[in-house]
This record gives sequence, structure tokens and C-alpha cells, in this order.
Amino acid sequence: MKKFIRHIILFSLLAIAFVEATCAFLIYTEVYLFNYPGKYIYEAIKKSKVKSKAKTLILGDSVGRQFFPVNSSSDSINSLATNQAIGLIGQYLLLNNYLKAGNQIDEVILLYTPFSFKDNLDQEFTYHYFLKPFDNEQNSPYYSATVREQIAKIPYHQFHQLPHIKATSWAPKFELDSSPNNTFLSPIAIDYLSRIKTLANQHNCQLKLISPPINIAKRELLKQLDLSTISETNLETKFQKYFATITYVDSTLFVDGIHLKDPERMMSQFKQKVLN
Amino acid sequence: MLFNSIDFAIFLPIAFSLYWLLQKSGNKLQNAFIVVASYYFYSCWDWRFLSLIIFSTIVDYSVGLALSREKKKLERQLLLWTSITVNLGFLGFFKYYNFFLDNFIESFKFFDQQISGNTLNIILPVGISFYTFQTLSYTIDVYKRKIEPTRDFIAFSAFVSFFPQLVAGPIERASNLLPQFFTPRRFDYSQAVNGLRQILWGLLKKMVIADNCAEYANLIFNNSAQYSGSTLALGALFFTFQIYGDFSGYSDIAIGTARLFGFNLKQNFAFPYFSRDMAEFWRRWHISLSTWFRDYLYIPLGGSRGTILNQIKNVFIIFIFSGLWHGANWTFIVWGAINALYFLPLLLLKRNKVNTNIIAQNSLLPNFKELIGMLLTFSLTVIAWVVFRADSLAHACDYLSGIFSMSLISVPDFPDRIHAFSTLLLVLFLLIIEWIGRRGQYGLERIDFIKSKPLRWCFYLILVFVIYWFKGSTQEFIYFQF
Repeated sequence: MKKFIRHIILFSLLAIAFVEATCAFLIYTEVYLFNYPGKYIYEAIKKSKVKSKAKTLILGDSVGRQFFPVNSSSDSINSLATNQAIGLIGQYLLLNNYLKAGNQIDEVILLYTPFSFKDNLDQEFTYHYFLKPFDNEQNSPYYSATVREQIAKIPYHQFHQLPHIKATSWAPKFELDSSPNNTFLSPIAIDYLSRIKTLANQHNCQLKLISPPINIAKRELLKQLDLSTISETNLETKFQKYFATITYVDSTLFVDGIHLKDPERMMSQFKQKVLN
Repeated sequence: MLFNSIDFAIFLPIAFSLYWLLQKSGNKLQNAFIVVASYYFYSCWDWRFLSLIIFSTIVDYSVGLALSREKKKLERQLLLWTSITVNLGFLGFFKYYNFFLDNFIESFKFFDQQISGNTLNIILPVGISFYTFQTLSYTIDVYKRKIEPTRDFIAFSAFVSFFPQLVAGPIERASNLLPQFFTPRRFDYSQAVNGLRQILWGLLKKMVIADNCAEYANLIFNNSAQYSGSTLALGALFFTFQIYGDFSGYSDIAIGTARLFGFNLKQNFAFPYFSRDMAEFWRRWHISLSTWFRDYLYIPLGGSRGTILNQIKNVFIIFIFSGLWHGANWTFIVWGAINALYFLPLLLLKRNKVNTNIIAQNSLLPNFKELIGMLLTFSLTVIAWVVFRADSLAHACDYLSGIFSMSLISVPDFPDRIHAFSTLLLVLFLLIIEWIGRRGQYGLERIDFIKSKPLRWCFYLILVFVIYWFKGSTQEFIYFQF
């Protein structure tokens, strides 16, 4: 029995070390990113630190990404669209990286559906899509008190950089979102929209807010949103135009009510709207 | 408490340590501990149904003792039928009440008559199909005087509720398991290591093979109308390996866990997908259930003796009941009937015991005839699994007609094909290991051919990593719903 217990303990320690070492190696070689959920976020982070000739930068949620994938590029447009789970703090960090890399742009376009502004780093996806790629020493100086507070509430937030966690899509199950259903802008969204606007102004580029096409079945939900917090962002005019130019599209064109089945069909029409 | 959960990973070492600490106190105390641990294990699922297990235990223990005292045939039969009524009564009520009521009402609609009935919101107690059959086998064997009834209530309770096999089998026979509660159990290093090895293999089959295959099986079956024949065929293939990985994986973990406690349970799966004909398949798939039906239903009905009509009737009865055991749905019944149709020609042509040895017994690879037999048997099994998995008979018909359409000759088209391809590679890995280990009780049992211990440990570490890296999103064990 003693021999068995000794061997169990030894094997368990070896197994932990082996798994950790192998995961660390896979992270070092970036092999872990093959078929990794949210791989495009890492691509966006990498791309945000590279100089580009493009004069227009796209940031966005997953619907925005359907029209402007991260791996697409042209001489005029560069896309860092990812998803809403990185929050407006994530969008701010991408923009900040991009401008610090010496990129000179005329406009930054935030392609966000109205329901994406609600994210307050309080979703189950926050762990995998925000903490793992963004939460590090380089970015933490840009955290507001609210961001730090929200991160502290996430279970196991201290361990997301451990190789065996970072290399997989594991995330703890939790749900922190207790905001009312009709919330439009979360506290983090209000704060970081203002910061994005300030950053854009400092670099003489224009900020545009545009919504991707919305499911017509969600029109009534949109009308119920509490828009009173827009005034805290000082972006009233931009939001006015944002809501006025929303395109509503038939429900049958959506996979899940939010993402389009075939964004290619609307690509040229939508691109024109975005760039004009 | 799933076997592949953190809860079980905490429960098992604690139960193991306390159990072997009681070794010096004798097996009575160890048996009592098993009862406590097993009741705790079961109550983690649903404590309300613990009373059913306890009641079933008391009834069958009492019936067993009464049978030993009673000499008169009629009274003995009455006692036996008491046990059968209680056990099958619980099973029938919890599992089949709504099904029979709905079909009863439907049959009246067929004659344009409307009757109403109240279906009940019944929760199926986990493991009921397994432990009721296990205790029934005890009373039937006592009745037939195959075994002596036990006077040790604690040992009997431990036999009924033994947690490794309580919720999803194997369905153990009293003649095999009950005596083990009376013999002193000494910790055996190689038995324990064998147990851990089998648990590791079972976890790989469940977490890597079954859970990954489940993602695609569910996606394709739940949206079958939109997919081509080739995709539907792939979906059927994924389900085929999902159910095998799930159920045989669970059995491996159950048997391996029992070994840690010094118990030897019977093999429940003997590499069924390497079968050369359907008769062999049914000797290798869910062995504990098929032998239960053989011994307690098929043979009493006359088995393969008597007229051809009698043999056909008995085969259909056993397979349909086997289907019905799985659940209250016509798909399970038709699945059983399909397997009866597969089996009958072999029985009637007296070819049902042709392939009783291990495939490619003295060679590395199967010969041509064995390979054809294996592929044909596998294909027939996959077709039958479509009916088993479908939501309804109409769904099964649509699914199968979708497979056997012109679109079968097309490239499968469904989301995330790269991951699906890697899942198929993992299935291939499983098949290779199980092929190499086909002479053992489970895939990894014959790992001793790797003489070097460090090399064996390296292989285990790789398996641990494969489980960690490739595990699918957690799915409940399929057989928990039965």
C-alpha cells in the first residue's frame, strides 16, 4: 500500500509537471493557437502593434468581424474587429497599441451592435476572451477602478496565465451580470468610449460609431433600451447618427438571431455605408 | 457525481483511503463503509430516490431469506413474484407510465375515439434500470437454488448499492459479486494499478472520444434536414463512437474503480466493433445486459429450442425487450427489432456460434474474410444506431433515406470540419490501441508488453495529456438516461 501511495503521488506530480511543461511549450511555439477559440483576438493584438499604411481602422464585435475579419487587410482599411467579450476596454487597448505603433489614421470606426455595449467584463466569456489575451502588466496601467473591481470578482482570475489554463479554452462557469435587461451602456463602456474619443482626438482622427445590420425581430427590444447614459460619454451626436442609420434585416438571414448567415451578400452595400 | 468530475476526483481518494484503513477491522466494517459511501454517492444524484434503493434492498433480502425457508412451490413462486412485482413495478412506473399512457390514448384516436389521461411529471431515478435487474437476478437465482441467500444484510446492501456500478452497470450477478463481500480483501498492488490503468483508459474513451464525437453527432442529428447524405453518414459514425466511448468508457471506470477496492467485476464490453457477425457483436456489447436477458428471459422461454416459429418469437422478444429496457420510445423498440432481424438468419442457419475466438487470433491483422465480416457487421450496427439515436421513427426514416441518397457521394459539409477531422484521428488512435489490446479485458490491459516501467509511465503521461488537451465539452453519460 505504501508503495502504491508513493507511486500515485509521484505519478500525479509528474503528470502535473508534464501537462504544464507541454502546455508552456505549445504556448511558446504558438501551436496552441491552431483551432483555438478566439484566435483572432491574438491576431488582432499582434496586428495592432504593427505599422500599416491604412488610414481607416475598424474595431468591432463579432458581427462587425463578419464583415471585416481580422485577417483581411487592404491599403485603405485595417481591421482589428474581434468580439464584444473583450469589452470597450479591450477595444481601447487595441486602439492604443495601434496608435503607439506610429500608425496615422484618419478615422477609427467602431462596428458594434447596440446590445454589445452592455458588456461590463461580467460575462462567462470574459475569462477566455479578455483576461487571457489582455490582462497583463503592459495593459493594467490603463485599467480603471471599475475594471479592476470586475476582474477581482471573476473566479480564478489570478491563474489565467498558467500554461495549462491559457493553452486551452477552459474558463470557470460564472455569471456576474446583474444589470437590468434594458441597459444600453455599461459603466466600463461609458468610461472607455470617452477614452477612445479622447485618444482619437489626440491623434487627429475621427471616431465613427456604426451598427452592423440588426435582426428586425429585435427592433422592439432596441426601443426599450435605456439611452439616458449616452450623455455621460459626450458622444450624443455620434449616437444619434448611430441609431438613425441602423439597418434592419429579415430574421431568416441570421444564424442565431445576431450573426448573419451570409454576410457576403450584404458586403458591398454595408462597406459603402461604413466608409461614407 | 460524474466519474469525470472534480467531485468524484475528491470523493474517490477519500473513500479509498478510509476503506483500506478499515482493512484490519475486517470486511464487515469495510462492507458497512461501502454502503455508506455508496448511499452518499447516490444521494449526490438525487437523495429522494435513495428510499427506492433501500426499499428494493429490504424486499429482496427478505424474499431471499423467505425462499430459503419455504419449501412449497406455490409459496416460493409467490415470493419470487413479489420481488419481480416490486422491482419491475418501480421500473415500469418511473420509466414507462407516460409512454404506455400516451400510446394507449393514441390507439383510441386511431379508432376516432377520444379519451383523456393525465401524464405525470416523473423524474427517472438514476440507475433504476441497472440496480433493479441486479437485485432481481439475486432473487431469481435464490429461487432456482443456484445460490444460497445471504443473512448478512449489510453485505447484501453493499452488493445492491456498490457505487462503482450502481448508476450505469455493469449489471453484476450475485454469484460473482456477492461472495466477494464475504472474503477478506487484502490490498493488492497489481490489482490496484490495473484498476487505475483501466480508469485512465475509460476516461480517455469518455472525455476524448465520446464527448468530442457527441458534439458532431448532436449537431448533425439535430439539424439532419439541412445536411447531405455524406454528412449524415458521418453523423451516424460519430454517434457510433460516441455511444461506444461513453458506455464502455463508463464501464471501464466502474470496473477499474472496483479493482481499487479489491473487487473484480465482469467485463462488459469486449471490443464489439471488431465483431465478424451480429451474433458475435451481441456477445461483446453490454455483455451484462445481454447475458441477463439470455439467462432470465430467453432460456426460460425455450431459447433456441423448439420449432422455428418458437425460436423466431423468442429472438424477437429478447431483442425488443432489450430495446425497451433502454427507454420508453418506439425508436428503442424498433432498434431492438432490427437487431433481431440481423441475428435471426445466423440463428436459423446455425451460424451464430461460428466466431467465438478472438479476431486475428494468431496474426497481427485480420484476413480478408474477417475484414469483410467486420466491415459488414460494423455497417449494420451503424444503421441500427441511427434508429436508436433518432428522436422518432419518422426522424430515423428521414435520416436513413438522407444517407442513402445521391448526396452520399459528396464532400461532407458542416461547421468546424478541422476539429471533426482531428476527432476522427482520435477515434483511429482508440481503434489501434484497442486492436493491439484485443486479447485483454480492456484496451490497455496488455500494456505490460512494454517491459520498461519508465516507458510505460511515459505512455501514461501522454494519455493524461491527450485527455487534458483533447477533452470535449462535458456531456452526461448517455446510459444515465436509461
